Amino acid sequence: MSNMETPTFIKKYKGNLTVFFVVLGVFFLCCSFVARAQAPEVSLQISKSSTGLVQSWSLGKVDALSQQRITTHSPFFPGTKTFSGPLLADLLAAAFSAEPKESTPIKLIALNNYSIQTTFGKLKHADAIVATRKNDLPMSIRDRGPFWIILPLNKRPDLENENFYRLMIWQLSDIIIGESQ
Amino acid sequence: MIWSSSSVLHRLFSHKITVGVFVCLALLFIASSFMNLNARERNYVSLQDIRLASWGLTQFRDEANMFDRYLLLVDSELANPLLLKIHYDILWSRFTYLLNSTEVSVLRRLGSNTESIEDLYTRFNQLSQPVADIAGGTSDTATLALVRERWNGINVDIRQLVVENLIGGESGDITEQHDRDLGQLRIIKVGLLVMLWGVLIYYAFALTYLRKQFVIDPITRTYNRNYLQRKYVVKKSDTYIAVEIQNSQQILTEHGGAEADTLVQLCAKQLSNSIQKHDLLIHTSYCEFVIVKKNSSPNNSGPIIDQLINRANFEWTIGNTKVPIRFVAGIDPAVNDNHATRCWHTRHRNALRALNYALEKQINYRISDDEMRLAFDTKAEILRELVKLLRHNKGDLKLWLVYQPIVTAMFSTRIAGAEVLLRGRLNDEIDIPPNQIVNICEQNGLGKDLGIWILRQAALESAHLFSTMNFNGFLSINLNPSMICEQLPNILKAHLLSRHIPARQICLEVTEDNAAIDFERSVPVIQKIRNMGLQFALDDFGTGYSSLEYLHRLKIDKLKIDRCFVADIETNAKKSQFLAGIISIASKMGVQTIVEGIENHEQSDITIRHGADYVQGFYYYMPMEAKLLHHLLMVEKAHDIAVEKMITGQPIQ
Repeated sequence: MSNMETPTFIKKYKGNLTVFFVVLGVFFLCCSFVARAQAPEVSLQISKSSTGLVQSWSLGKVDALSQQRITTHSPFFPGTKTFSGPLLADLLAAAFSAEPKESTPIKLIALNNYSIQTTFGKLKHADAIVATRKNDLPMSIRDRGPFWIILPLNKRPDLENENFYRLMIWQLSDIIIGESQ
Repeated sequence: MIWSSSSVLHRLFSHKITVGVFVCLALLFIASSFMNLNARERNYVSLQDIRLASWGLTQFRDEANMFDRYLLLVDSELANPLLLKIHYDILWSRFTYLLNSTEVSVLRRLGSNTESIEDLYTRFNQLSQPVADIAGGTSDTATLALVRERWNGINVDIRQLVVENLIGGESGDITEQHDRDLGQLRIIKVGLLVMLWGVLIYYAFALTYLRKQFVIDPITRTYNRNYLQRKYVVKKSDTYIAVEIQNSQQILTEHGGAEADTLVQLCAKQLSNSIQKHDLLIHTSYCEFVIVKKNSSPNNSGPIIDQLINRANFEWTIGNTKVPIRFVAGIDPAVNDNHATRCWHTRHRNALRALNYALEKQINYRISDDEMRLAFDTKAEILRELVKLLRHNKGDLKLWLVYQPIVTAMFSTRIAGAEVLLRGRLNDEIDIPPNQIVNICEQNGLGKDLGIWILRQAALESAHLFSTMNFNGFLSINLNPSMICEQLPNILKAHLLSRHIPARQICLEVTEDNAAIDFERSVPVIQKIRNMGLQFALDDFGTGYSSLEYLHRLKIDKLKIDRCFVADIETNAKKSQFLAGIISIASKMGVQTIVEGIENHEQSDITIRHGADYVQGFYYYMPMEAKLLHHLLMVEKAHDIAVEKMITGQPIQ
């Protein structure tokens, strides 16, 4: 895909500005996904907003970290399920060789572009893990994988509210540390 | 029937309706609790539920749009087909989320949402293989066209679902039920409030009505006793008059029931007609009224009240007979003294005492004064002290026994027996007449206790008279009315006979009045005791409502002839003959006679001549304490021995 094609589009849809802008919007949108879409397997993108450096964490790389298990219920599925994966704090410590400060803003983005903004401290105190397995099996996108922020709701009744449910983002694709720009 | 306003109020605040309103209130509470429970079962939609459901729907639409966009891009070969697969999977997971998660359960409950989503999911699932093929690059353009065609159908329906649920539509507006529930709740709340206020107002009125009814007598519609308890009803400057119908008990017994109510109503009417406008008439209890005469002078209240009563007296026509109704009043006069504080209870008590006095003396009215109050207070004190004494507690009242010897008429110096007499003294200064002590005890249920006390005391003091001195006379003990009962034989055994007092030397004195009241009861008791060996004497013969028949029926051994038959016999020949007649009748019936109250030599002579068996009186002996009696008997015995020795010629030692 190259920029050279753009003029052809303009020529083709000349006279219909609306369609033009729609197509232009769609184009830029798709451009932003192209880089990621190259990889057949979805990996986790971790970046620091200040540097813009993006680390790509594959499932295997995440699996190498020390694993935690959480058996819990949630408002998103019936019954209880066992999830496993590294602590978010461990993952970030591994990614940046030091754990971020608790006050550090953190942005979590899902595959469907849903995102939430919070602080690292809040997630750390909620004992958040980046789950990679559900009942010991890797999660497909259909299973809301491959990465899912899971909080131990069963053991921590204080987390049982909307304030924390919203942090349990599934189909996690990006973690951005630092002030959003 | 025309209802008067009071009758309507009476019905409105009647027992039934008040209870009915209370039941309604209870039902109201039950209904509201039930509704609350029902609401919980129905799972009222909360705003939070709506927020989550609409959030889920928005995500659903966005992800559908995203997939749609990628389909377009892949079709134009502008995007990697792998991305189409990812977005297909994202949308796929959204379907499972909508169908399974508890967060959006409200969405599934509404209308046919579940069916619609399941239908869409099935149709969407059919695209799974073609999309995988496209992503794997093993598809042709026809597959893509097929996917696009089918997807467009699904996408239109997804949009439709979202629009209907979020913005509104005929079937599935998720806010609709919330609004409906809220509306229902509002109506219920308003209804409950209105009813609650209604009930509160009803009870407020009922309370006012009850407060008014509380001081109104139901029969006479005048004020009742409760009204007196209110402040400022009775003032110091008012005369307090208690009024009762003379012989009310008798009239009520004869004309009881509904007629009695009519009588009370008539009385109330008569009395209220005879009092002045600002005076108060209060119906305190059946046949008893109180008149509060306002601002009357403390003096000269007597004639005014006499006039008032005379005005009120009337003849009650019942059937063919006319019953004269007379009122009797007891008055507690007004006082000028501003410092005197007397509550209405005290005034009521004073008036009642005066009323009782008037009833007893059969006079029209009596004004309560210090003398009367003192007499009542003394009586109350005596009663208090009697209770103490009979419970063996030391008090200010002293009771003791004295003995008046009875002598044989033939040998007027010879002591044949002694009558046991009661003496009482309060605070070591006031002597109380024995009949007053007996009356107080009888009126206050202490009669039996007093009787037992006398028996025990007599037994204690005279036991050695019989045991060591071999006294062979009789001891005459008065029985007060309560003693004549079925338990008397046992009482005598326990307190007299068990203490070595020989039965045949006891004579029990009963008065005609108390023994003759109930022959059916007293005759068997007297008979039983006589069988035990004791004797009976009829006391005060001739003073009460007696007839010679009693002499016969009561089966007594001795007759005591009252002093009134003895008085003046030395000067009045007719009286003397009368006494002779009584003695003669008694002796013909086989009853021994004891003549009381002999005060001089002439009376003694005449009585003895008339043939009396025993005589008693100051002329022979005054009543004396037990010690003195013992002494007397010892002297007599010594004298006997001396005489005997003289006769038999033995020297006196």
